[in-house]
Amino acid sequence: MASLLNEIPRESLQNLLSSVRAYAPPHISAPAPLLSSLSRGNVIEVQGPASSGKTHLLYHFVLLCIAPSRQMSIDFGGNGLAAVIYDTDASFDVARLHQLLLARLSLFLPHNIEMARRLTEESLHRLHVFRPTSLLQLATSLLHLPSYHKVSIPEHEIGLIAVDSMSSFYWTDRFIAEQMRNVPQRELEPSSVNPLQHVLTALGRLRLSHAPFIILTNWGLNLASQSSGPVTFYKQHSHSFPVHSENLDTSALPSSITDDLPPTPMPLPLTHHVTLFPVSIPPFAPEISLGDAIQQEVDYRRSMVQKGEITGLVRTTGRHEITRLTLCITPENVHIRHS
Amino acid sequence: MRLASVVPLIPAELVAALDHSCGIRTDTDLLFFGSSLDIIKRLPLGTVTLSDLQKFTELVAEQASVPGYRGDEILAGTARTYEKHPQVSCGVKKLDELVGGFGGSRVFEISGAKGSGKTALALQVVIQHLLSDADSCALWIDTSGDFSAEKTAQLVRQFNVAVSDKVLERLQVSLSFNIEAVHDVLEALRISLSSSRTVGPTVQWIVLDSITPLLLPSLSAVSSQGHAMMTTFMRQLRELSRTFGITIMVINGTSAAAPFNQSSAFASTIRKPALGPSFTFMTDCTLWLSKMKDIPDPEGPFSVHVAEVFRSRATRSKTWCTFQIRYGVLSSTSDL
Repeated sequence: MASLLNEIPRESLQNLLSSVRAYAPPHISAPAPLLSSLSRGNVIEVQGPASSGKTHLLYHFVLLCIAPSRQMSIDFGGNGLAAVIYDTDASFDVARLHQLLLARLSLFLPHNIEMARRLTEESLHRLHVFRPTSLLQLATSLLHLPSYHKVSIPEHEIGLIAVDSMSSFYWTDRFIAEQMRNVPQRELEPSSVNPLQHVLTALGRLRLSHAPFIILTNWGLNLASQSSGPVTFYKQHSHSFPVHSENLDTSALPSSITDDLPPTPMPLPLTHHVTLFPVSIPPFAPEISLGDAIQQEVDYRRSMVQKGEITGLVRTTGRHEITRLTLCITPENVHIRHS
Repeated sequence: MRLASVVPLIPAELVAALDHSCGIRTDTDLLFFGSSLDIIKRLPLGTVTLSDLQKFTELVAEQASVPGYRGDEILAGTARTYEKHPQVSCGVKKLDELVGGFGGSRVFEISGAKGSGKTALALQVVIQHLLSDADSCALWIDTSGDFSAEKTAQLVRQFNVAVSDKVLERLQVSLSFNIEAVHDVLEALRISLSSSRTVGPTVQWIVLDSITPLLLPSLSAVSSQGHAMMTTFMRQLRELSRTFGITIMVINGTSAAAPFNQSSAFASTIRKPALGPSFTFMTDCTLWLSKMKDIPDPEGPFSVHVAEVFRSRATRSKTWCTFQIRYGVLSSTSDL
C-alpha cells in the first residue's frame, strides 16, 4: 500500500497549486506573500468571532480552486479543481459565491458577460456541499468522500476540502463527554473516543490520499490571556483539536489543552492558523448628541465601515513570526491584501 | 447506527463475528477501528475476504454519510425559494437596506433594553407581511404573556382598517413558557408544512418573543447541558427556516457588557445581547435597538431610537440608523 502511494505523482499537483500563488485580482499588482507558502496538503485553521469573515475567507479559497485556470488564451487565475465543503451550520451561501465568482470572471471578460456566466456555471459544477448533522456524521461522510469522488466528480481532482465550522457541534459533544465521564468506564472502546478525533482521523487519511488543501473554520470564543500590544488570539476551546505550535518537531506529541488528560496522538497536523478580527473603529463618545453622531457617521465612520476590512494574523507552524494580512469584503469582491 | 440494522447488505454472520472478536457494533466502530487488515487479523480465519470486508466497509460508510449537492443545483434551489418570498418593509427604509430586506430564509436576532422597540419592530414587520400576502400566516410565540391582542388589533387598524379582521385571523399566537412547549409548537408546524394535504395559508413568518427566559436559566458554567440545548434549538430553527423558506425573528434580552459593548458604534452602550458569545454564532443577523429620547409633539408624542446591525451574514456589519416610534408605529426620523 505504501509503495503504491509513493507512486502517485505529486510533483504535478504541487505545480498546479503553485498557480494559486500567482493569483491576484487584476487591480492589485503584487501577489500576496501569504499565498507563497501555500501548497497542497496544507491544513489551515481560521478562527474568529461571529461575522469576522471566516466564511468569506473560505469563499476566496473556493473561488481560487474552482475558477477556470486557462481558457481561450485567458489566464483566469483559478485551478479548475473540485472543492468539497462540509457546511455544518447552514451558513455557506452558494448564491453569494456565485455573485463573487461572476464579478471576478466578468473582470476578465468585460465584453462577453454571457461567456462569464457560462464559465461561472461550469465552475459551480465543481463545487460540492454536504450538510452533516453531527460530528460523527461529518467523520463518516469524510471517509466516504473517495467513493463519492469516483461516482460524482469523476473528471476533476479535489483541490480543497473545507469544514465550516468545526464548532457547530462543540457544546453538544462536550455535554456528551461530560455525561460519559460520569458513567463507569469499561475498557476503551472505539465508540468512546471523542468524535472530533474521528473527524481528524478521516481528514488525515484524505490528506494522505488526495493531498487537498484543507481549511477548518472555528469559533473564536475565549480570548487567550492578554499579551502586550494589539495581538489578540483566541484559545482553542475544543479539546483534542490540533493546536498551533512554533515547534516543527512533529515527533514530539503536542500538549493537550487540558493537562490532566493524556496527550492524544495528532492525526492532522496544522500548518497555518489564521485569526480574524474586524478592524476596530473608535466608537462615538458617550456624551455625544445624536445629531453629532449622524454627522460623524457621514464624515468619517461610514467610509471606514464600507472598506469592509478585517485583520488576519497568520501563524505558521514551525515559524516564530506572525504575518499580518487584510481581508477586504465588498459586495462585488473578497480579496486578501498583505499589509 | 448499529451494524445489525444494515443486514442483509452485510451478512449477519460477519456482523456477529465483528462484535464477538473486535467489539465492533456500530458504523463508526467499524469505520474507525483501524484498517481492514487490522480487523481481518482479529477475525476467525475464513470469516470474510479482505476485498469483501473493504466492500462492506464502503457500503457502511455510504449508509452513514450525508448526501452531497452540486453548487449549480443548490443555486437553482435557492433561486426558487427566494422568488416566492416578497420583501416587506419594517417602516424604516434605511433599516430595510441595512439588513438586506426583512425576508428570506433567515433567522434574525433583535436585542436591546426594555422599551427599545424590539416587539414593536417584529410586530410591524409581521403585520406588513400579512397585509402584503393574503396566502401567508405568521406564528407568534409568546414566552412571557406580554402579547396584547387588543394593541395588535389597534395597530393593524392603523395600517389598513378594511382588512384588519382577516389579517388578524392569520396571526397565530401561541403561549409557551418553556423550551419543551416551544419545541412542540415548532414540531407541529414542521409536520403540517411537510404534509402535502395542508390547505389554506401557510406559515411564512415566526416570531419568538422572547428566547431569553427559555434558555437563560439552563446556562451554567458547570455543565454544558444548557449550551447543548441552546445549540440544538437554534439549529432546528435554522433548519426550519431554510427548509420551508420561513423568516424567523428571535427577540433576545440583554446582559451587562463591561466597560462597554465593543460591537456598538456608541461608547454609551453598556449592555450586550444575552445568552453569551456562543449565541452570536447561531443567527444570521443581530440587530441592537436602543431608545435615545422621548419627544413631546403636538401631533402626538414619539420616541427616537437607534438600530444597529451588530453583525449580519448577508450584508455589511457595524452599520446603524435612526428611527422613531409614534403610537406603536415605526417610521423613519424626520430631520433631527
